[in-house]
Amino acid sequence: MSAPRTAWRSIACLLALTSGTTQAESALDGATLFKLACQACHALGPDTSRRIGPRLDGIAGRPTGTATDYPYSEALKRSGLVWNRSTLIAWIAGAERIVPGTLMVHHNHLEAPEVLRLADYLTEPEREP
Amino acid sequence: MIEARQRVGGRLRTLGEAPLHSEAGANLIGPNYGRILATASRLRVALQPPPASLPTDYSLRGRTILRSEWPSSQDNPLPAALRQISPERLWSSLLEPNPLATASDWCSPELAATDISVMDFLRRNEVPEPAIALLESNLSYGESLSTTSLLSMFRVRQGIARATAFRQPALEVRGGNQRLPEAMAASLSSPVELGNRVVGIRTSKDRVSAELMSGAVIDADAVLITLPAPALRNLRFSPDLPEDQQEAIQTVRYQRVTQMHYRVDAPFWETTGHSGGWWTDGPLGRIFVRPVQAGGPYLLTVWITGSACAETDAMEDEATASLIDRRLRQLMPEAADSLQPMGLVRWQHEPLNGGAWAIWRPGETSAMFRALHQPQDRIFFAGEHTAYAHSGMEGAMESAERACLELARRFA
Repeated sequence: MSAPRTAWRSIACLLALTSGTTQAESALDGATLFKLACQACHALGPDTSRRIGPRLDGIAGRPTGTATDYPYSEALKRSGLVWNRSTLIAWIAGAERIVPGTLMVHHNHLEAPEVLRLADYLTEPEREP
Repeated sequence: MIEARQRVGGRLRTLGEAPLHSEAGANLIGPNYGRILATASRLRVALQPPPASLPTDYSLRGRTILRSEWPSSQDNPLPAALRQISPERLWSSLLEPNPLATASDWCSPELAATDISVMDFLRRNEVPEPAIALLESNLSYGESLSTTSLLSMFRVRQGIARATAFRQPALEVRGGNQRLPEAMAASLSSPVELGNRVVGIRTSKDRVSAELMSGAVIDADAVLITLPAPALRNLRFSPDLPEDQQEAIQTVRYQRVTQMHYRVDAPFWETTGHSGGWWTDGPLGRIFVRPVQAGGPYLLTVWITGSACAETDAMEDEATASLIDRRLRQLMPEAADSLQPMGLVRWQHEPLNGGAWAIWRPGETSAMFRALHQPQDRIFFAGEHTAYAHSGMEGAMESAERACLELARRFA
C-alpha cells in the first residue's frame, strides 16, 4: 500500500470516528461550507469564472490530477488516488499530508462533521458537470 | 464597516500616482494567492507582472563589491564552501532541511517544543560566523537571529518554495496595489465609514457595541476586528478578553520597516558600472530599484528593517529622511541630483499598525498565535497575524475566510 493511501485512510477513519463528538455541532450545510471554505479557489456549477484551483464539478470518481486544462502538480498526477467521499474527506482535512508536493496551500478550519458534510455535497449526483 | 484612517487598505499603501507609484506596503501578489486573484478578477481590477527589479551589488563594512566579483572578492567574508553564495541567498542554503510538511505546521502544537531561535539552529549546525553575521543583517522576520523563531523562518522559506512551485509570475495591481482594497470598498452595499476610530467594544447578552472616538456607539449582532495587535492594545473590551488572549495581544511583536522612496529619471549607476540595487551590512539596509517601464524612469527604495531602524526611530521624519539621503549619496556619489524623494514610511510609527507584519519569537508560534484570534461570543478576529497557511495580503484574506466561517457557525 502506498504512503498516500495509508495516510488518507487514517485521516478519513479518524474524522468518521470523531464526527459526532464536537460540543456544539455546526448547522452549516454543504453548499454554505463550500461557499465559505472552497469557493475562493474553486468554481462549481453555473459559476464560470476562473479560479486558482480546478473546477470541482463531477469530481466523484475522477482520478486525481486529471481535470482537463489545469496544470496540476506532478505529485497529484502521480498519486494514484481517485476522488470519492473518503479521499475528499482526507484531502479537505489535510491535503498536503495526503499528497506531499501538491500545489494546494491550505489549512482546514472546518470541524469534523463539516468536513463530512462538505464531502457529501461535493459527491452528490447534482454536482455532475 | 468602520475604518480609522481616511483611506482604506491598511498595509496596502501606494505612494504617488500611476505610473510613478511606489509600494510602501504589500508589494507582490504571489502566483498562489488564490483569494486575492479571485477578488481582483471579480472586481475587474487589472493585474500585471511587475518590471523586474535590477540586480544588486554589495557594500560590506563600507567596501563595495560588484555582483560579478562577489565569489572572488577579497572582501567576501565567507569561507570557501560558501563563497559562491551571495548574501541574499544564504538563507536558502543554510536553513535546511525544512521540517514543515504542511503550510500550517509552523504553528502546530506538535512542533511547538522544537521551536528554538534561528541563532541556536545555526550554531548547532556549525554555520561559520561570517555567514551568521551576514544573516543577521537585513532581517525581515525578526529583530535578531537570537529572538527569531526557527519555525517562523521555516514558514517563510516554505512559502517562497510553494510560490515558486507554481511556475507563474508574481503580479501587482495596475496603478498600484492599493487600488484593490479601494475596489473592494467600492463594491460594498454601504460605504466604509472613514476616519471613524473605534476605542471600545462592549458585549452584552444579545448585542455588541462599538464605541467610537467621536462618542457615537454602533450596535450590532457581532463585530469582526481586523486590527493588528498594536492597534488592538488601544481598545477597551468590556468584559475583558481572556487573560491568555490579552497577553498574546500585548506580547506579539511587529517588524520594524523604514523605507525611503525615490524617483530616478536616469540610470546613473550605469556610469560607474554598478547594478542599481544594493545589499549592505550597514545602516542603509537594502536598496531596491525597478524601472517603471523599459529605459526608465525608475523607483528606488531604501529598505531598512528590524534593529537597524533603531537609530532613526527616535528622530523626526525630516531628520531621518535627511540622514538616509546623505548616506545614500555617500554610497552612490554618482547619483548627484538624480534622486527625487517621494516619501518616508516607517510602519513602526503608524499607531494603527505598529509595524509591517507580525513576527514571532521562539515559542510563540503555537499557543500564543492561536490565542490571538480566538472568537469571544460576539467578537471575531482576522488579519494577517491570524493566518495559518499564507502570509501577507493572502494571509489577511485567508484569515477573513476563517472568521466568516466562525461567524456563520455562531449565527446559523
